[in-house]
Amino acid sequence: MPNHPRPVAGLIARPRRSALVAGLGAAVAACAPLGAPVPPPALGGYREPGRARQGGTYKPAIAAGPVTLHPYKHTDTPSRNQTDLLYAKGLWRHDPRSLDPIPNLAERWEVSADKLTYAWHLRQDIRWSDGKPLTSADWLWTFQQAANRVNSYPYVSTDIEPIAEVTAPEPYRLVVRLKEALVPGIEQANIPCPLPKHIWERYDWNDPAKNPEINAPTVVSGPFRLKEWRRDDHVIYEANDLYWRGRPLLDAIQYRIVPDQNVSFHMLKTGEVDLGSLQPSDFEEAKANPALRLYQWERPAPSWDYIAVNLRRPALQDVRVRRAIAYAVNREAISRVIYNNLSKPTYSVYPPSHWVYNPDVPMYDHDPRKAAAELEAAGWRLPAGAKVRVRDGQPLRLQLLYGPNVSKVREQISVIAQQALAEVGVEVTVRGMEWGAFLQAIRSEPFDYDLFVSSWLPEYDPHWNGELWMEKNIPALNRPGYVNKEVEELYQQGAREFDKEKRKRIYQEIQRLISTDLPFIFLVYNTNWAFLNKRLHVNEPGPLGIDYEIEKWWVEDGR
Amino acid sequence: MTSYLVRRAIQSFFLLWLVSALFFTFQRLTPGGPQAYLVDPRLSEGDKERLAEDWGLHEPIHLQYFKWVSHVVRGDLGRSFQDRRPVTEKILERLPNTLYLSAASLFLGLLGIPLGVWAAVNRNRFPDHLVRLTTVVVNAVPDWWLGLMLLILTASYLKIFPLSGMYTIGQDSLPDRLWHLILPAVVGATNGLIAYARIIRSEMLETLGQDYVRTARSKGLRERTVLYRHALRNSLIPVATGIGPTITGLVGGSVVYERVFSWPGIGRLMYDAAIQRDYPVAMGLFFVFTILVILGLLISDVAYVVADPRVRLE
Repeated sequence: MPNHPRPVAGLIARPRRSALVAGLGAAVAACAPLGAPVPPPALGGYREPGRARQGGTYKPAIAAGPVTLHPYKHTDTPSRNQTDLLYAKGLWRHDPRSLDPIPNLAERWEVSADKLTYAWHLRQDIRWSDGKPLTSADWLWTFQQAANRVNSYPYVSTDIEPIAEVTAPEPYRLVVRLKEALVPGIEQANIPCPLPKHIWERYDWNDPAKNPEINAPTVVSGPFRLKEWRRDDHVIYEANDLYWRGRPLLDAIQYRIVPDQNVSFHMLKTGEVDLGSLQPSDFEEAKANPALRLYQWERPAPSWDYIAVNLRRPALQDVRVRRAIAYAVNREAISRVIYNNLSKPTYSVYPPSHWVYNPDVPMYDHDPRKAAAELEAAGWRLPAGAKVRVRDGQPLRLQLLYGPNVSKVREQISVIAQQALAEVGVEVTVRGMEWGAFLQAIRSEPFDYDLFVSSWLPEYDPHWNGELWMEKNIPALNRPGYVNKEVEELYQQGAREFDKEKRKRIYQEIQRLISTDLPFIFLVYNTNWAFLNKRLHVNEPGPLGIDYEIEKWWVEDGR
Repeated sequence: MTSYLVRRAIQSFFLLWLVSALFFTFQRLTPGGPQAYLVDPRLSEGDKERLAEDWGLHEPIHLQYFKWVSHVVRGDLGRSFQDRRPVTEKILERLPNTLYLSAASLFLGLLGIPLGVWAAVNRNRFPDHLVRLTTVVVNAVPDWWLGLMLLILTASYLKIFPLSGMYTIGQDSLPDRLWHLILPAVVGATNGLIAYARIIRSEMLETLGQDYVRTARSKGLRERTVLYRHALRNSLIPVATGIGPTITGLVGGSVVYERVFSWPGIGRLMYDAAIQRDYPVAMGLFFVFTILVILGLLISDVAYVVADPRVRLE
């Protein structure tokens, strides 16, 4: 994904699933803003170059359709993925292999010595689908609309607030000045995407009843144009002949909205669709199916599951008790039982696929004896014949919450943790809660819980994870109530250290500190996988997935 | 009759007002407003609060309710938080899909009536055992599971029916639509079918023992006339009671079938609105449903009069 690997929204139903749907989803998402100093797409996918052919329709099934096609109104993953097909996004993009910034809609850029000003030189060969050139006036006008308070853009704090000023001194030059010089400044200086000023300025920015371009756009800049959208049923796109990186090899994409995953899998098996939203338990069966091809990759910043510890509780303020919990939980079992080994154990706030990963953090592998020893040391003794440890006459009983209660994954993690802790003499009661009630319980007085299970989907730059540990974010984001001034100071340094090696060492130290303090018990991180019908040829799997250049996708049978 | 209807209308108005105020309040009292469901970590707390403010959620709840009422009396159910489209438009675009499916289900469900008659006439013989056993078994199976199993068997393995949707994209024709309709309609019909079959069976057994049936038979009327003209009509009264709620159900759709059969109907709209706390949509649907329930009950009362001439509406 170009600059902000956004989380898989839809935590509502099943966070993990959506991540996988995003396997394609994220993928398709990623596709739009790619492009580079660009020769037109080399014919041929990575697998059998030279055989690629034009024509045909890619038919994926997705669990949820888009909510809106307004690129400045959505907060859900399906809408983002689909607007990525319609609108070219990203002044720069990540190199699909190294992940370093490379040119995209801007062919080059200059950064001022104070790292505050980014001067973007826009490509002059980009056209809207009506043939009009895409210029800095479109960028500037769109930014002004997004920045206008009355237009209610959801991502003001990440996309608008860091920017001091945007100017368009020339038709193909855009200058963005930031308020603060941070290493991830290049992300902040990247305006989400331009809209066609000459069309949109006639209409209302907010109201789909007064602006037909919002949900039935006719003038776009991405690889595909909208052909037909029936809500909760299907969305059809057709190739944009004027796409700046070359017309896609596919003629069309036809999304079917299929909410039930079992049905989705059957449609994949019968060949009715090319991609379905599968559950980890479907993995082996899909792998054995000769019509399907498996793609696997690891994102640089994958999502991970954790157990958070409420540091307001006296018993849990003792780090030995937290270490005991970390030793007691069996990550291998979580990975095997719940994820069919499609997730891997993690011990740090940055997982092994991340460039700042520190392999030397304390690792608390499953070891009930060490867990028991830590509890003994903390004064929690097991009376003869008893099952629950006691200190000063108080039994060690903990309450573990998870939400939303419809999440099978979180329920299973909770139960595995409950059993593991029972083995070392800690009695855990598990309580699943509806999402709204769950959030209220963990984020507001009286903080009546001991542990909770949740997951996190970080952004690519390591800086943003710091929000989880800042004292100012208690209790909204920093839910355990963790305070470590050294960690906060290091995050400040990390955001301002432009030397990549030195910067990496800062984040490694942060990982060591957090894994020592254990406000979270890190459990497993997700790997990505997708099954597609073999007739599809996609991009070579890499850290960005398989659809970072969707214009190069093609179908074998041309249908 | 007219004064009865006027009285009912006035009662209904106050009922509607009371129920809408209660629902509005309860909805706001559930923990976590719509901003809690914006789960993208890129959205800061400040961003979420700003959105909540733009949705008008920072105003006192009674003010929000008065605003809602003042819009409703002008025929405006408000805008969805999710996509800013008018709630009426969102309901109307899904309503035909739901009506189409539920009308087919209702129609198939009415087949339970002859089935009940058949069982009653053959009491304690094979047809009766068959009907009773089948209704008990099917009744014990959850609908969504039955739907899923039927779907997988007939669509995935036997490939007789399509796996999902209302029609084949690009080949939207009447035969194609009917072909897509069969499975969901059959699954949707099971509840009604079972209920009608069982009610009619027991009612028929009772009526068939009545004196007037014996009289009819002794007059030498044909068995067919006795069964359908004399006995069945009297056995239909409990079914008439059920008509009102059935009509409401027609419009409400079912998130269960709609999910399994990928059907873009009202049930999924309601479910999503409730899950994501899209208050205006949930409120709009609830309001429409309440009106339909009130109307449905009225229709039931009138249906009594038609079915049983002894009943008078006072």
